[in-house]
Amino acid sequence: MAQAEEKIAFVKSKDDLGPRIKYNIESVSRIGDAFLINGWMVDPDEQCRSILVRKLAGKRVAVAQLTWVRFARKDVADAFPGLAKPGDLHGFAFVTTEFPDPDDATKLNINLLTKSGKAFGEFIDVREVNSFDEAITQGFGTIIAPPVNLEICKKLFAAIVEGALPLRKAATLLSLNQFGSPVSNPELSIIIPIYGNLDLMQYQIGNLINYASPTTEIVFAVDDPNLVNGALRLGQRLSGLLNLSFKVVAPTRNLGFSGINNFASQYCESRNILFLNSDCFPVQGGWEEKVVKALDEKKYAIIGARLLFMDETIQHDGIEFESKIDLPGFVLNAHPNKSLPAKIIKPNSTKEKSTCVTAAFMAIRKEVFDELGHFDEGYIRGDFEDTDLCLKAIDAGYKIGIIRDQKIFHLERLSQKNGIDNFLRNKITLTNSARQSTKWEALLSTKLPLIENI
Amino acid sequence: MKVLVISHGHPKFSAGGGEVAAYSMYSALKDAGHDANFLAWNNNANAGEMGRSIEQITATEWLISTKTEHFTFSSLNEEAINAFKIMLESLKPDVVHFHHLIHLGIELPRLVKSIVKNVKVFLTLHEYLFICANNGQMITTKGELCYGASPAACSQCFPKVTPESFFMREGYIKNCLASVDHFFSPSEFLRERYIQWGLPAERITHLENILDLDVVANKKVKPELIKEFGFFGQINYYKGLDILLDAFAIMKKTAPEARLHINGHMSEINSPEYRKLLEQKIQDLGNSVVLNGPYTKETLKARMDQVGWLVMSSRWWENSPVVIQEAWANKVPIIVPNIGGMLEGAQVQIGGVVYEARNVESLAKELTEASKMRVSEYAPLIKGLPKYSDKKPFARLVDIYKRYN
Repeated sequence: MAQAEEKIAFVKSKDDLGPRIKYNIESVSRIGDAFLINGWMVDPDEQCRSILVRKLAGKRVAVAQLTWVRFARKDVADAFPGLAKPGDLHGFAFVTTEFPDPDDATKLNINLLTKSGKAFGEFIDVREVNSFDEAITQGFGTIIAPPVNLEICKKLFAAIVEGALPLRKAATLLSLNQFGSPVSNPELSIIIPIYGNLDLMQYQIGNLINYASPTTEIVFAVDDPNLVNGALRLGQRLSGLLNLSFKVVAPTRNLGFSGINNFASQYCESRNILFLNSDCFPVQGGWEEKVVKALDEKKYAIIGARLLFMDETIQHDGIEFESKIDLPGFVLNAHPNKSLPAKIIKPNSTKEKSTCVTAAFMAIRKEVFDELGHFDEGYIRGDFEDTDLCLKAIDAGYKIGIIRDQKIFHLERLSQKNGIDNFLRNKITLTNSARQSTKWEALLSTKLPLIENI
Repeated sequence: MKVLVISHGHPKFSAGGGEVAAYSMYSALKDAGHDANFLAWNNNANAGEMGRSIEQITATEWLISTKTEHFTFSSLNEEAINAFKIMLESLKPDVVHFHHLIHLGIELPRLVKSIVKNVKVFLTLHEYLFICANNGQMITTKGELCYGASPAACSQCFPKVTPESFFMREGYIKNCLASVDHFFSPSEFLRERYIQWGLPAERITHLENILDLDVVANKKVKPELIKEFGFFGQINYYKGLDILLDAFAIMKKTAPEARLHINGHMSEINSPEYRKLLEQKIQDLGNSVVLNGPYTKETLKARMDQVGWLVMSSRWWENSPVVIQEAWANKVPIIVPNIGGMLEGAQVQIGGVVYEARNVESLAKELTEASKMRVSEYAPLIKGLPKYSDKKPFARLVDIYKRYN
């Protein structure tokens, strides 16, 4: 590499690279051990050979030859009408983890090399990204407009996620409180994550006074340290008023859907766990007996349920995998029967298509949950970790069942915090999809067993 | 039987119809030899300070200072609730009968059952607060009559509140109400609204308010009262006094000597704009309007003796207006809108004249016809009024208590 650099003629300004090459490095972010470099380039004659990145710290010099991801930038195309060609991809971004000791990098030296042997180098300040959420919001913000393709998800967004995962500091127990007398030898432990909205905790308590049996342990898992005091006050007030026993457990930081459920599972006393979204309400007696019986018989490792919107149309009836013509390469989670009236779609009247169930209502034997390694925390913001767990179970030879004769409402998305724009949500969904299809490529290419109606 | 009647107010401090009905029920139980106690919400804004959550005002009457939030009526004051628990443990009632839960907390029926073994819990519903977030009026926020709540419809009234929130509100309230053994509704109309909302029909009984009223047995017909009209009760926008004043102004053109007696508290009108509007209309009517101020149980008969007709002009459905029973006891014929508990009062209870609700012209027409009535037409109307008695509803109440105990 050093020999190659010696043949390069460094120029003093970008303009000296040639009249038909325009580019700009817009930002350099450090995400954990990775660096995200983002910019644009107009190069109609394809004169650019490569970009070299150096980290100058002490005596060390590292150079990264990078493979970048290209994408459309309408703003750049509009700015250079004479040079930009329709269909050119002017945006670029890449992630590198090739630098040792990233902690000492406050600037990166970024060099563009042309095929004619010219080069221009500049020092760009490195912006430190301090949290997982910030990494996702900022990193995924590199792509400012659709479309998002499989290459972007697999090469760019997946690298951002991998870089960001270490930013999730280890969580320890912030708070564990029992309200009312603990349930001895519970048949079932219900984990209800609370995030963003304490009203849902109130409504859950109100519902469970009538629809949870005394042999069920209820665990509210508060996934926001800022909500813990409020949750404890609410818990104390309502347990006294409504004579309901429950635990409130909270980690020291926000863990996301997978993380909080994994964390809370440590505090469950029962052999059976039900993951229940805070906006999911069973409103018919007897559902627990059915779930517990089915789990205890060990025919099924995972049990889901038909869930209803508040107008009693189907919200969830199982999940099947599908591909879409406008999203080539992606394997997406589809929801058969969604929005159809539950009264019309009888539990056994249609041909089963689903292979997985949602974690909005998912029961599992605790030993199986431990054996499967819990929910994968690499999925972002409550998506795909449920099908991932189902695929783990299928891969291990377990069966999945579904209960369709109980009335369980799911108001969907209320349990997630708002304030996330649709495009970011779309990018997250596709990144999660890409993660799942990469991880389960072999299994997804086989015929998966269908879920069974219990 | 040991009965604890719990009300949203004490009529000594807040003389609304529901408070009066609750207190009368307690008095009737006591008079019948039951071991009855009365606990009322303390509406004094400063109450509850200095740690006085419960205050005893007589040997068997208490005030409690509680707070609730106003969407689900969840109880917020833990100190008061703790004091209430101690009170329950001490009293050990066989029956706890709530009137309203809005100030005390929707969770209290279940709380009572967790404290007192084998206690039976009853609730008298006085309006539509559990169904309707618009002050329980079942009127849309645009002012139209509402014929049935739903999450989507309620969210249209309150666009900042999602249908899902209304759905969960309804669920929370119903879940808490599941601890009530039996409901009472003072009108069939309100009963049907609650059944439509989802309360099981077999758990809700129409039971007229038990009111300890002095009953006029044989009323002497006074011809000069034919042109004397009376408005009784609280004055606010929903009670529609402005509609009555407008109709009265039209009627006055043909009956200039007619008078309107207003028996209510003008100074307690919450909205300054509405108060100003009413004051202007009253001023325009000059000496035709007599402002008598609020009335009490003691002054009720004298006020009723001043009028030949009781007129209601409420914009909302009402439940079972106490004023109708008060008119009934005093043999005063009524003129009321053709909706809800008022229509039921006129059609089922005592008979009366009905007009199209919220319609000034329709009310003016009925007022005019009433004012032109001859003695030979008016006298049979008085004589035909049935005799008021609260004995039947009281006996029914006790029967239902016994059925559950």
